[in-house]
Amino acid sequence: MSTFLRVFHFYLLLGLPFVLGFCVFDTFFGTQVPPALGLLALLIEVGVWHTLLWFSALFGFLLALLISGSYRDKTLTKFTAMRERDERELQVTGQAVRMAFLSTLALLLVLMFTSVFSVVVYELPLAEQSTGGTHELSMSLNLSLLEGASAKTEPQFSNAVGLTQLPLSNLGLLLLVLAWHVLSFRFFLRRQINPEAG
Amino acid sequence: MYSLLYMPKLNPTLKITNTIALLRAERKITQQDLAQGIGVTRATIIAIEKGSYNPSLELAFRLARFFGQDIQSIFSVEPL
Repeated sequence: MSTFLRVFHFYLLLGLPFVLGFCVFDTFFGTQVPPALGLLALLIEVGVWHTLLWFSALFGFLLALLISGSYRDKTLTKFTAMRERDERELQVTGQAVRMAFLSTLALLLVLMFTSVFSVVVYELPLAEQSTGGTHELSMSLNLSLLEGASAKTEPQFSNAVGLTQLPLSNLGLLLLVLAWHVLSFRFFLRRQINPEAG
Repeated sequence: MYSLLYMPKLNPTLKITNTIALLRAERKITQQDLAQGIGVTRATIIAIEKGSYNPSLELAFRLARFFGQDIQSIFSVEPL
């Protein structure tokens, strides 16, 4: 890896705590400080520009991961701690990738199903309880592909209990899948190298 | 959760044994020296000696050349 890339990665890593710290500061105190405050105003000005620069660098990093195969290979193999120094390690990595792919695929299928599936148990109005039952179970599938495209036609029941689609945000879902994929790969890699472990 | 981390077991039909550990001991060569000599890691030499990894044909030839022997005299096959 070239010196430039090493410095670039080092900057991204080292700059992260400063950016997070600045974001926390901005949340609590804001960055609109009168210039009369001198050094503090200068520090905030530097913080703003640094945050802008850091996010630009992050954007460049993510774009490079997408468009450059060799950069992606160098960076992500390091990030996932892949070891491919000889044919056995290549084989072990291949098997771990296969199993991580299949387990992630299974997880994605479960998440996809739970994201469209709703189940609600609700109490029937007194007028409709003549048949003996007091509660009703309602199941539905929401098959919309675009966010907010589906019309909310579900009736509002009183005393309703249930699970209405996946209680996770888009970011939460992506983080879950990302963490699962990387961690399961690491798990399988360790198990392949040492079958007695885990 | 655990079933999501299932690992299939391979069922080999042949058992491949080798005399690498013996040859190494005869020549007083360490695993590290052998690994460097044929361009693999020491972990791979350990795995081959234990029989938990069968080398490729290319690596088998490299091992044979390193010890100055035929492949057949280093590796032998027996049914399970």
